Amino acid sequence: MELNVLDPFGDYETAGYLRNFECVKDLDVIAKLEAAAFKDNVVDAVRRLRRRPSLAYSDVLETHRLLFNSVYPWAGEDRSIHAPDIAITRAGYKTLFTHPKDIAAPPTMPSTVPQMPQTCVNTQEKSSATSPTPILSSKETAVRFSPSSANNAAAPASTCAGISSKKTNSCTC
Amino acid sequence: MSAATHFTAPLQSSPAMFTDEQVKCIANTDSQTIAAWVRSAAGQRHIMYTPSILRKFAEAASRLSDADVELDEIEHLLIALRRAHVLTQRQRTMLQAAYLQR
Repeated sequence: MELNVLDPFGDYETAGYLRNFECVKDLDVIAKLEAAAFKDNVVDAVRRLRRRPSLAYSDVLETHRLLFNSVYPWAGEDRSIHAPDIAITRAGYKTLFTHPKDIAAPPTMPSTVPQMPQTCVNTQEKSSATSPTPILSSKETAVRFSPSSANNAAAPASTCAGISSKKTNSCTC
Repeated sequence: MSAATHFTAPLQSSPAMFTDEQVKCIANTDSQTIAAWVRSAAGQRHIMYTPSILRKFAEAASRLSDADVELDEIEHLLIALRRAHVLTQRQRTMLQAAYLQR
């Protein structure tokens, strides 16, 4: 029977699951090693995060390192280093993990959003004198600024389509 | 009471009480021997496992990550030994992996 095991390094048979320090291949044992590492370090990880005035991508990496560096030598390293071509989903879920480039990128507004607010003021003034078309543009702008639209902008559909066409594996870590 | 100071342990780990070679020797034995050694190491230092106030958070996070696994007494003692700086994190992992597989 073929096992569906996440193996971005291509050496599961010789180095174990994701090159863990103990070369363990049994996924049930891996789950317990991860659980113990998490329980051991979660207090320190949370304490560290609470000291931070603001959180950045480097804090995500450092938290992962703190939690799992006793199990995996690569803990805390950016996923694009070791698995740049693999789309990863949580086991049992269809949602893809965010690509590291999307996590690291600062939040930005869509480039298609018109300049505000000076343009609107001018548009409103013109619209009252001419036609209702600018008012429709104003509604369109509001839609683009909605939270759901902003989220979509942070993770463009084209990116999702690009990685979903590649090999998809399940991850338990 | 417990010497496993869950909330006062510094972020930086201090030197452990056993060398990697000593721990490796224990890890090369069977599960029962490892369990006996863990109980003895903890008992001699009056170390017990006491769940932290973040236990519920940790359990909820484990459920969300599909890794809802139960650790037994020995595995919890290994965590307590690490938090008391009797073992390093790598030594804890080495002993737990050996304990589970032998």
